[in-house]
Order: sequence, then structure tokens, then C-alpha cells
Amino acid sequence: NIVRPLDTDFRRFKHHLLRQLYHNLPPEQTKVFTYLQGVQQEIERILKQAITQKESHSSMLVGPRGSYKTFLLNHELDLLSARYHRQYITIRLNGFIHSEQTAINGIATQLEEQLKILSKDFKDSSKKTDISSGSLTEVFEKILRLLDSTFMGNNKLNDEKKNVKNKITVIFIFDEIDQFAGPVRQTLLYNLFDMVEHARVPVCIFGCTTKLNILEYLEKRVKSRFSQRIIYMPQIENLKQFRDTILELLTVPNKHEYRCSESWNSFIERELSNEKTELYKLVKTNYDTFRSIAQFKNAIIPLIFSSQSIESLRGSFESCERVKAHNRNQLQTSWTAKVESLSDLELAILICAARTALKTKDETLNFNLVYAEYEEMIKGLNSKIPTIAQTMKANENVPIVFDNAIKLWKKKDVKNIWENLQNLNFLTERGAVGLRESAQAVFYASNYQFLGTTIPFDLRVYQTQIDLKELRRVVPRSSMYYSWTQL
Amino acid sequence: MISYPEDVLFRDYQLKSVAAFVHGDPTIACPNLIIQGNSSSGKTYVLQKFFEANPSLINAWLEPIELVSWKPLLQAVVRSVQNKLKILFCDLAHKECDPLEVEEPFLLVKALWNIFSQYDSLPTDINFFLVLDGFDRLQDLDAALFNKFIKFHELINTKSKIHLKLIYMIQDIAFVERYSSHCLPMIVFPSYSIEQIIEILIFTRVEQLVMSNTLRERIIKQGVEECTDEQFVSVAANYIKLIVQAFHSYTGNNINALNDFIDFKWHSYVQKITKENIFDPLALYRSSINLFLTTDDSFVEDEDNRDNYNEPSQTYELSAISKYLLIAAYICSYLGPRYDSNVFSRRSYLKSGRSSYGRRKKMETNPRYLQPSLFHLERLFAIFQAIFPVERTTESGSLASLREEALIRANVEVFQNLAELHVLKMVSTTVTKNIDFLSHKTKWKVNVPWEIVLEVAKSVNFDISQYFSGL
Repeated sequence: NIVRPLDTDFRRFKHHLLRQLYHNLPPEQTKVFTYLQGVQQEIERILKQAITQKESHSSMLVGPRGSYKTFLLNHELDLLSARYHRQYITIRLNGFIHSEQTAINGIATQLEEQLKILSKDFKDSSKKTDISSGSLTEVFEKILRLLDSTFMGNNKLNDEKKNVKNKITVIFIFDEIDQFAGPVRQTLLYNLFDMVEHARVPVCIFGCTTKLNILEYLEKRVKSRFSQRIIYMPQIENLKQFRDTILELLTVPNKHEYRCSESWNSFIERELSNEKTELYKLVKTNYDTFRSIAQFKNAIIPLIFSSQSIESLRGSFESCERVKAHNRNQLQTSWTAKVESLSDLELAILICAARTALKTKDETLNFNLVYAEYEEMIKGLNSKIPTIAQTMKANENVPIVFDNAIKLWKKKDVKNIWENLQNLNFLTERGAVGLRESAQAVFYASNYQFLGTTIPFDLRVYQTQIDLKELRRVVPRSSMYYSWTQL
Repeated sequence: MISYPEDVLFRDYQLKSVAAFVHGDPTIACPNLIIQGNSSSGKTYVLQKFFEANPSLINAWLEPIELVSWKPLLQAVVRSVQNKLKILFCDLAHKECDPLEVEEPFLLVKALWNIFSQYDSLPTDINFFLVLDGFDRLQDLDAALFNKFIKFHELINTKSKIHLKLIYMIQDIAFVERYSSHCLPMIVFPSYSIEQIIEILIFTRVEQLVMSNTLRERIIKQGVEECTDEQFVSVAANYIKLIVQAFHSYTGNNINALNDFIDFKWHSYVQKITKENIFDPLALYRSSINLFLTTDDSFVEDEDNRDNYNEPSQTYELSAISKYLLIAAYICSYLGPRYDSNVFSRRSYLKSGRSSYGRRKKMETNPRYLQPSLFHLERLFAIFQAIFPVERTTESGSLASLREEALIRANVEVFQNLAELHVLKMVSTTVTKNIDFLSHKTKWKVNVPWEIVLEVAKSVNFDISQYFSGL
């Protein structure tokens, strides 16, 4: 491989295209997909009302993962920050990372941080910003006092109008807001939603969640304070829309900046409008299965990244070999691939395990039963194999036996296989809970001694993850164990 | 420009994909990358080689398996990031942040924010790759932890010069599938096939085997003179092939296990080399055939070998009472109480009445394969009494024989031995916590497999298998 210096124009073009895929261009260049623009305008309106008119709102964005909730919010805020960057501060919380307690600290530190930046601009260092110090109740009180009253300057006696102008909007962005809307108390949400109603500081709250029934999570008093504005993220509705979105994703808007952009845009459009092309087929498959732009992006980013010139980029889009390789790669640890990668003994034991599971009433098995089944299977196989009679060679002492028989591995050797199958997840302990949902549940479980760990190795009860019927479809017909894949 | 490491076999696709996501440009980089593959599929090796070939990429490694719980993991993230940055830009760091103060996921965000803000004077934006090698090997793993890690980047200042990129290496596909809706880019490392394993092992091990002292010494001792380096290499390569072919079914696609076999058997294999068979692989194989027939993967000597020594094998150094108690417990657990009187009753009846007929039909499955059933302590003592041999020390018919007990009683020693067996976890009870031994509700079961009971019974010349032959 000779490493040729890249064409600089193509390199810049590629870089632009990749940044576009990562939605990482400067805000004014970032495109928002057409199907999202309705919601974008709504978010923009809410934000503008909050920032310029100083109105308080609360709203929820509901949509599945990867439906551009955070992206739209960030994008709008970036756009607004160019014009109004002194008039608002943003506080971001994430329900995964913040708990009810730490969210208070999170709000305080972010307030402090943002006010420091603002006060630098205003050259008003008289304001003491030590919100985040002290005990938790103190901090919470300070935040509430700060937000509940006007907080820029102590000039309350001044002209009311002037005061309004000086007010700073606080925008809260909650990711995974349903985590804060837990079954007990919901203090944080209560206080924040209460501020929307009563505080003199304009507060704008955005909650992002994936739960469609988010309102059912909220307590009665919290729900009554929430302004009931729920924005459902739009979904791609038909194949044409999906195709157009992909087209938007891949076309480069600024036509004169790069030499190859124009031909590229027409190339992509051509590829996507012809139903015979590989690219179109992939888009259609994606639409039929995942219907996910992110999924598509993951596949084509390596493709674009590895291309060296506009010709090779086009060539790889025409063949889409790289994307197909990606799709193959994603499935290389699927159950089928895992079964195919097993050694012959592992496969034999797995088949025996599946046979044993099928025979027992509750589909459970243990090592003893499976080994007994294995012994029987190997004996059955060997009895069918024609054995060649023992022949004596000239050398009297060494009889040569043509041993065509299949080796019957010892019980202690098969134990290693048994553990391998467990590691590969083919076998799970009966009644196992697996991964716990929360750290607390893990803590409880780690203090509990499970029965399965105290009984001997051979007697532990397992269940198989793949049953005999499925195995029969995966094991090739040429395998000598194929006939054993049915009872 | 990205360069690829040379000495990585069968991972071209993976390397190219890694290069697409792991590079120096923060504007086109993904904050999270998953590398998934079963154990010994070369995940760590490939990534290490990749970073070695590209020294300009800043990276730090963490092994969550050593960190046990989520809190040390968070602290280790701060510590490693801070240390690495301090080494790289020693003139910029002003104040240190104590990693041990990070006790919450949110405090990690805060600490990273503070650390990164010290480097705002850097000329360009840089990517910092933090590799969490074996994220799912964290012992106290729960489903919520990974969610936290993949969202950290949203809370850390996007305008800072240092962009933290996390690379997760995960073995368990079921774990990854929990988070599939996040659509994180994932690179799968499939298991190697047997041909690939042979080639990899030859590539990595031959030199080491050829240079080993055992081979050198043997060659000198045997007086093999005309032997070129290529022939040495072919001897070693042939040995590796033989090992893989013999034990691949046993190890599966695990390269580490095969490496162990190579080390373990190389010495014995070399001892079989003579002047004649060094150039004749088949003859060498024939003379060392025993090495390739058994795994010898045990610290206990093989049963077949033990017979040669004629040693009385004793698995456990238990007292006679304990041994019989264990045997009795095994019988209690695996034989139905209905047929006890048929099996154990020996007294002639003074009163009229018929004895039990015993089992009529054979059982479908051998009960020894299944879990032990529970029994009451009285039944254990009854069977213990039935099977425990008491020698008569007195002459039969004498007056002294009237005073002698024909059978053993449950004396203090019996109870002591039983308690000891329980402590040794050879018999167990239904509940494991706060057991009330004196309660009549407590039921017992044996907790040793058949092989061990058989050995214990053999040591006291008790034929336990006859009790299980007629089932």
C-alpha cells in the first residue's frame, strides 16, 4: 500500500461530510431534517418566549432513543446563544447521573459556574456566588431563594421595567426526567415546576423522556403544576421520508465550497432515487427493520472515513461492500455464529444438553444428566461405525488398531466444556436473575448466598438458552451430530 | 495519518473500523465505542497494538475487574485521566483534584469539568481515549451503570479543549443488547477459527519454543548436529499443530488454554526427541503419543495412574463415624424412605407381620444424577445404625455379651461428627441462615457427589454401589 497524499479539496469535503454525519458542524451550518422542523419551530418558540419575553414554561419532549431530543435542544440553544447569550443560563441534569440529592448540588454548581461567567461580563463582582457550599438543605434553600426572587442585583427599589430587563432566564434541561418522577416524593420536580408557576425569575424547563405515559409518573400535585405541554417527537412515517432524510444527511449544502460537492450531490441523489442500487436496497432494509438513522450512520461512517478519493468514495457507495461487511460483523457473536464457532466436543455437549432439557418436564438439566446423555450418544455413534478388524503387522508387539471410533471424553475433561458453555451464555443457572437493575439491588444480592453456589458442581441445575429445534436448524447437515438434533 | 500495526493477524476489518472511530480529530469522533467479543478474541491485544502504532493518540486504560464496584471505578476514571494529562502537559496543571472525593456520578462530571478547564490554553482540541477494558467484568455491575457512562459526555463542557472518548470492551453480548437502542457504534471481534488459531499460535510461540533451554539441552545431549534453524522451527510448529488438533475440542477457541497446554507439555515432548525422530514428525508423534491422549489438566493424580502405585486412596481424612455418617446421609438423600425397611431390616420378627416388598419397578432416571432430597435426622441415625459395623469383643454366649450393645448408639461422638460434617459443608440443611439444629422442622441433605461418596465407602470397605444397583 502506497500512502498517497490526499487531495486537500477532497479531504476538506470528507471532513465536512463526516462532521455533518456527527451533527458537529457550527450551529448555523447544521441542517435539521425536514421531518423534525415542525418540532424545531415549536422548541424555538418556547425558548424565545422564555428568553426574550421572560415567560415561564415547562414542557416535555417524548420520543424513543435517538429521536434527536437532545440534539434539537442543543441546536436551538446554540443558535440563540449568538444573539441572547447574556440573557439566559442553561442547567443540564441527567436522570441517570443525578439522583434526587445530587441534582440539587448539580443545579447549584452549574448556577455558580454560569453566573461567574455572566458576572464577568457585567463586571459586577459584588455578587457573591457561593451557592454550592454548605449542607444539602442550605444549598437547596439558597437555590430556592435565588430563583424565587429576582437575583440580578439587589436593586429591587429600582424601576420595575428595568428590573424585568435584567432578569435572566434559567433554562433547565432534564434528560431522563422519568428518573426524577419516581414513586416517592418527587420533591425536586415539585419545586421546579412550582417555580414555573410562582417565581419571579423566568424559568423554562424541558424534560426529555422515552416514556409515553410520563404524565402517569407524576404525582397529582406535581402534575397540576406542570404546564401540560407535551411534545411528541415526530417519527419517520414512510419509506420516501426515510430516503429523503438519508439524502439530506448525505448531501453537502454549500455547493461552491468544495469542487466535488456538486457532482457528489447529484451522485447521491441518483443512487437514492434508483431502486436497483445497493445503497437504495440498504436504505430499504434499514427502513424495514430498524428504521433508525443512527444505525445507518454507524455503518457508513467507516466507509466514508476509509475512502481516499472522491472516486473511491463513490465506488464504495455503489458497491456498499463496507456496509455489508459492517452488518455481517454486527452479527458475528449472535447465537448462530456462536454455535458455528464451537468445537466438536462443545457442540456435542450442547446438543446433549438440549436433548436432556427436552426430555425433562421443567426443561432443566445438570451436568450428570448431560454427561449420561453424551455417553449414550457417543456409544450410539460408535456402534454404527464399521470397525476394521484388528490386524497384526510384522512387528508382533505392536498391534495396529484402526480406531475410527469417536473419542469419549472423560467426565472430568467435559467439565471444562461445561464451563465454556456457561461463559458463552448457552447455559444459565435456573432461576438466575442476571444483571440487577440498580446498584442497590446488586448490593442486596451480593450479601445473599445463593443455593446454587453451595451445592456440588455436577448437581447444579441449569437451563439452556437454545433448544434442540433451533440447534437442528443451525447445525449443518454434514455434521455427524446432526442426526442427534432430534429425539 | 493513521498507521496500522503489522503483527496482528485476521483482524483487518476490525482494525479499519477502529481507525474510523479512534483518531485524533475531536470534531468527527464518537463519544462512545463498544468493542465486543468473547474471551480470547484479541480485543485488548488489537487495541493495544493500534495505540502502539499510533503514539499520537492519547489513551489511558482501566480494568474494571480490579475495581470491583462502581465507586472505585469512578474514582479510577478521574485518577487516570488526571495523571495522564499531568504527564502530557506538565506545565499546565495548576491544582490537583482529589480522586477520592468523587463519590457520586455527578461528582465525576464536576471533577472532569474542573480538570479539563485547566487545559483551556491548549492550542488545539484533542481526543482523550479512555479504554475500559472489560466493562462487564465489574463485579457489582448493574444495568444502570452503563447508562451513566454513555451519557457523561453530554454533561461535560463541550467547549473544553479535551474531549473524553470512552471505549468499552465487553464480552457479554447480552449486556450490549440491553443498550442497543442507544445505537452506539460497535465493533465485533468474532472467535477465531481453528485454522486461525494454529496460525496465530505458530506466529506467537514458535520463536519462544525454539529458543527454550529444554530444546537446546536435549539437542546437545542427543548429539543431533546437522540441524538448521528451519528444522527447529518446523519441529516447534509441528508440535503446536499437534497440540491444537489434539486439544481443540477440549479447549474450544480459547487461545490462552491452548497456550497453557503448549507450555505444559513442551518439556515432556522435547524429552522424546532423539536423533532419529527429529526429522520424522510421525515417528516423534508416535513416541510421544501419551502426551496427546490425556489432558492431565488436574492437580490430583489420575485414577489410572493411581492404580499403579497401589496406594489406598483416601479423599478425606475423616473418622470412621464421619465416613459412615456421610454414607448414611447419601443413602437417606437418594433412596426413598418407603423402601428402607426392605433394604435395611435384618432382625427376625418376634411378632407376626410381613416385611416390605421393596421397589417393584425400576426408576426411569438414576436418582444419583439429580439433586439430593431432604431427610429427617432420625432416619439418618437409623440407617447409620444399620450400616455401622460393630465388632463383638466378647465371646458369644457369655454373660458379658448380654451387656454388650449389638449396634452402635447415637452417642456424643456421633452428634459431634455430624456437626463437623455440617461445618465442612458435606451435609447441609434447608436454610443457610440462623439454622436451629434442634428444631424438628430442620431437614438435612447430603452435599457431596457420588464420586466422593464412592471413594469414602471404598476406604471403609463398604459397598455402597450395591444399594444403588437395583434401582
